Amino acid sequence: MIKYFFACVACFLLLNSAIAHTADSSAIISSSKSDFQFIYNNKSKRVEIKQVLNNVYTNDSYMVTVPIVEDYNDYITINEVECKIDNHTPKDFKPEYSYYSVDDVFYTDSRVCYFPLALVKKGTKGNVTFTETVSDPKFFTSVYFSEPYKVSSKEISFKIPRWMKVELKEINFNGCDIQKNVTYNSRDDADIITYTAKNLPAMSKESNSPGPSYLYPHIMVLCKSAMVNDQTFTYFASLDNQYAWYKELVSSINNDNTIISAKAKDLTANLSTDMDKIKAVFYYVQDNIRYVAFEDGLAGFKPEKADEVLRKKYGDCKGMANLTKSLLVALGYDARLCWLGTNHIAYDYQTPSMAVDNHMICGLNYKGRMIYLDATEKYLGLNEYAERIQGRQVLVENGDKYLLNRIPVALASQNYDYEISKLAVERNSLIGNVNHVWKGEDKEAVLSGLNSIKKERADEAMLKYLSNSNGDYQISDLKLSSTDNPDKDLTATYKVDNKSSITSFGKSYYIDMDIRKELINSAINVAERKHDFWFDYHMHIAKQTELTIPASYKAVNMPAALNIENPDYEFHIKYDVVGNKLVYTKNIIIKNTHLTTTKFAEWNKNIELLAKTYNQTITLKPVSE
Amino acid sequence: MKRLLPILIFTSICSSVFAQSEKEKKAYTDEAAHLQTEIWGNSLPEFNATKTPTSLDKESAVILARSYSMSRASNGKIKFGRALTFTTRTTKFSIFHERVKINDKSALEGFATLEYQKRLDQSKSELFAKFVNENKTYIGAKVIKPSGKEVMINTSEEVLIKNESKDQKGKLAIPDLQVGDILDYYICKEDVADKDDGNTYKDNDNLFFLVDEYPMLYYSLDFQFNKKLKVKTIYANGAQHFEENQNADGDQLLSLKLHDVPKYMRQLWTSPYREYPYIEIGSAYDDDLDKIIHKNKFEGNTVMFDAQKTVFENGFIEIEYPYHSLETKYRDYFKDKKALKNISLDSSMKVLYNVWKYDVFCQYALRDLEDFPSVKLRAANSKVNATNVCMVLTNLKVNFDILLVASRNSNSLENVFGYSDFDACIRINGDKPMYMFFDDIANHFDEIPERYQGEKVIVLHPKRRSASEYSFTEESGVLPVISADKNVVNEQLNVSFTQQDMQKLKIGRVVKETGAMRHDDQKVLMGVDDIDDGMKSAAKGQDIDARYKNYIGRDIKKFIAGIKDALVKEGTEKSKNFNKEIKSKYDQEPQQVSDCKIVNKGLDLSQPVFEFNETFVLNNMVKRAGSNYIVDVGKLTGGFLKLEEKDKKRNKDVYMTAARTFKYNIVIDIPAGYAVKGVEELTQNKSNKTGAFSSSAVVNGNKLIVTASRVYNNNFEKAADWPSMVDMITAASDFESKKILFEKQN
Repeated sequence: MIKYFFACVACFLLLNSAIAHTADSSAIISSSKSDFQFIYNNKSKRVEIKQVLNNVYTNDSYMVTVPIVEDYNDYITINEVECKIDNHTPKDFKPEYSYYSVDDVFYTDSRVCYFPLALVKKGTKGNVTFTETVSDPKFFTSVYFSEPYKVSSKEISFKIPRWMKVELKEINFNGCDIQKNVTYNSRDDADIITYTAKNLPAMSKESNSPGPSYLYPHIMVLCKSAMVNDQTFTYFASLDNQYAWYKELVSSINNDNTIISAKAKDLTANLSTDMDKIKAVFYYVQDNIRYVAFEDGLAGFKPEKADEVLRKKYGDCKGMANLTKSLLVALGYDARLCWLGTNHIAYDYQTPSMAVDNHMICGLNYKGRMIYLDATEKYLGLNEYAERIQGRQVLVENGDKYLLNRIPVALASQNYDYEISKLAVERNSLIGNVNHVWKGEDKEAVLSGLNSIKKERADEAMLKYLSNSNGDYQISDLKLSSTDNPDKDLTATYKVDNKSSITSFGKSYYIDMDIRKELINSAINVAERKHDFWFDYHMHIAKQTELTIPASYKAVNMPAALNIENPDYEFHIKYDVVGNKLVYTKNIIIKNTHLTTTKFAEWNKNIELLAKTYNQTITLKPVSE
Repeated sequence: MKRLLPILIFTSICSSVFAQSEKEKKAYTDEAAHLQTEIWGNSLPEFNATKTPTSLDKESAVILARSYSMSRASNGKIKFGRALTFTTRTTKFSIFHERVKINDKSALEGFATLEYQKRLDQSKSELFAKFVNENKTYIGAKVIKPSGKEVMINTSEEVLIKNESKDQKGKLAIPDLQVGDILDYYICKEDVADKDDGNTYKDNDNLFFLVDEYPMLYYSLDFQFNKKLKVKTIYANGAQHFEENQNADGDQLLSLKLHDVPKYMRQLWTSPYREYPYIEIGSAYDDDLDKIIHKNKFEGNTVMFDAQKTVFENGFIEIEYPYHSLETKYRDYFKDKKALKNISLDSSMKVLYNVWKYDVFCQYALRDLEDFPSVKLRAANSKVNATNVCMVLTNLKVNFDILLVASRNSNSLENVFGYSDFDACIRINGDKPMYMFFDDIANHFDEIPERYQGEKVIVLHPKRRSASEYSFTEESGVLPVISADKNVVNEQLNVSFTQQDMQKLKIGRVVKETGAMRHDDQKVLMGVDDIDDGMKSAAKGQDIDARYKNYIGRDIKKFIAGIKDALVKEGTEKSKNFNKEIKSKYDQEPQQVSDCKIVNKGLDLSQPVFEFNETFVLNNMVKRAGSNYIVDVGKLTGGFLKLEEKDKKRNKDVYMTAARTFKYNIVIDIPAGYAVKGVEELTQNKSNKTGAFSSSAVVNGNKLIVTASRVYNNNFEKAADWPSMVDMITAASDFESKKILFEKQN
């Protein structure tokens, strides 16, 4: 009998490791070869892409296990998996195939094939090959050079028969050592385009970074058409084709209009103006339909029937867009489905491809102006747009044709976090009243947070948020505005007794006018961070604190104002004495949500200045001193 | 957020064990329909409730009713497989039924998804016999709207996230569920298994806390066991008992009905297994524990502990333990028999403990290389190691006892059910008692881990009868609580304003930790290389090459090289650990971190104090007021616990980690041309029976010396003494807001 001397034996949970693993830097890909070949499948009578993906892994430490994970789905089949370690297939080699859980997606047809590649001694070579078939060229959209591991050398080749019209668009090649070679294979009447890249750094995940299509070198594969075996296949030769395919998908939805009409009437029963009716519909979908995404094959691209979304009270962006549109159409409005890509995606409809969009909303053509209704944004009002879709190209349903518009870029005033405090000194405390207003995405952030918390803890959570978790900032008599109407701003008023911001030494008071000090710890670690920093949304933080100077006191040591202004952001802090009031005014404005790496040094310098300014106090001294 | 439902095992008639045929699918559908009628047709009034008391209107959700019922039957069966086999067929059937009022979006997210193992068939065939091992799950759900309208959920809307013939996992998003609705759902599981394993108490042990995340208006538990099964229950912390009956077939029936079950309140310093009522119930068919109980005539509330204790005692079979090897290594430490003979008992036992620790923690396996940093987080198996060391001590003719104890963070000793519910240690009976606990790498000889301090123990006096039998006499006792002055964090901070910018502070920090206060930082800041070096030195151990020189294996050289590499790599990662430690202490990213060093590893009693240094710069600790500067002196301690208003009242006893002391000595350079103000505000002295807080400040030349000390006298306080604790906690947290003015002199 074996006695186990340790109580806990560490379990290596392979799947979790495979999916969520941060790549071990002890392993690299010494060579990678991906071959893509367009073929015509006589049996299934369609054009397919055969892909052979081979990576050779090696390690510079002992006992490195590389979790090999390969995605597939209804359109990509894994035909064969091979694995050799130092030219021998491991005895226990057994790839597993499993459902792949994706954040925010209830169910997806995405699957993974995974297995551990154990590289025991230094310099072991693990050779892994996947042979796959893509059954529809529409879904063959991009090929990346970068991997989760450093790549010493990578070759990507495309064998494209002359009957296949494909454009290979090179993205993010600048600064990369990538060579291209084109040859012609006369026997197969095919062009072979080979790209070779050297010394590619590993892909890295950083918070608030642009999506991978902005960062890593890759090739967009734009499959346009094929003429083979006396058949013509049209893919996305132009945006017209892409729209036609989308239109065909949505035209077969078959909503039950009786149910929809009844609901539309019910929602707008006592409303008379157009705007009231439109808002009633939009806010109903926002508030009553939970986000549950099903991405199962073609269902991942076709909206659920509106009456089904209504019945289930859940749906994804497509379902919500379809429901919103159908309800509005039932009321006689000109509402349409709209496709778009969020700012996670680097491209737009200039390159027709399935890769350019990932979202659907409803567009309402109202008195010649298009209003966009995105019910997935739960707490934004009409005419308010989330950062992720602002300025993005949007493909709008328009019968047989389409409209190509842009989502408006919100005014700077859309997102607003405004606080005004009127305080006085009383018994070593700052006592007074505070009014707080949140608009736009600031409002959405607060309300999302509040609604994710259990009801019985919501008040406590709000107090903690308003006090910045500062126990000496005591809030009483808190009144929060109703959250029933997304049109309206969120407001809070409360009384405050703040002991943390005032210190007395002798007869003098030292006042810290700002308990929040936003961005004070926002310096970027330039030694570690590789990618641009994208703020979640445009910000305008405005605070004003008015402190009544006690009788027979004066304010001294007034800090110098801070005024930092550039095209990307502004920091303004100033102190004024107006009569017997000391007024602290702060404005922090993020005008450009994209902070590039070249601007990090300047950002850090400005954050340092901001921190210094925040860490100033005002002195209130007796007039006699 | 998904609500994951417990897997309950039921018995029912098993269907074909191979690919799911149409017949099987129909059988499944029919059974599902039958269950739906049974469960919703026979509902108690509580499962028809639609109203909740107004006092619960602010709750995220209210469980109107919950019931769990389980039936189990086990019988012996003869199977003609490859050999004639005697096996056990167990059938289990359970129903979890819940009716919940959803009051907010958080609860809606939590309850709106059901995820379950729909079918799992692991049956096998051997020649003429089929060994069944199958389980099936049936679900049902309905939504009751505020108007009273009931909407039956079509469970065929489920998606199968795994859909193999023998393995299906399902997920169902409940349609039409909204805030204000009631969700009424059930999950039935049936399980049929022909196997010998899986029939013991260990595999059929359910624990039910009689509190919940949400308030429950009605909660029922019902069990039915056939007469061949033995059933054991533990009722802990005043839990109400089952009503026990029998039916005409002799089945054992246990039933409990509760009303108005309170919500579990998340509070600081609680021990749920000691403070909340729970029931642990297990059943077994042919478990050796029942033979032990029968043979020894154990009875009463502690029958399971008595049986498990006997299992432990019966495990003293010398051939199964490598104690000779440990004893040899111990003797080798001395090199010289005379030295061994003349050494005092406590010194020799220190050596034995260190040799044991080195032998267990500094041996590495191939799999350790996959995640080498986590090797230092291992914990020893107390019972196995106590037995092993006991055999060495018997050979050495040392006077000792074995103590059995339960952790304060888990069940008490009286409520032991499973073998893992208690631990073992050794007490050396010298001039004073000395303890050997087999725990983590940081534990010293004669150190009692905090989770056992103050706990009742069973003291076993062993007597060797033969190589395969030890006998024991026993008595009870209590482990001492180590006083606060032995569990100390002592920080010396030398603080100065940086030359370039007086709004930044340069801090040289020296930290010394003893007792229970060492362990966490030792495991964070030291690498496996530090530990290996430290223990090798303490136990006169060997370098890696020598350590494995007698190992045989094709890849042993690669393995040794791998270990050496991993140890070197550990050494390069340490600065990150120090950074993290500073950031977690001061809640901000430190700058210019340097001089980070482990001065004393504190791994054994030759160097009992864990000591480390670091130097860094902190921003945001100094406010400027014209030419003057205000330093957040209180924050230099890293802050003290601050209670929220809601935590200032409690009715649950207080289980803290340890009695402990925190001392800070902060020396701040006063720049030339500056004087300090506010020094007198830092003087404070408060104490009561639960602890003390004191602070002071004095100017000595060009240094401001600030001291602060916080003591928690005990590791446990009664709820009635919480107000006294609040006083001390408040005194300390108030210190955090203290400031000193550095005023420019004219």
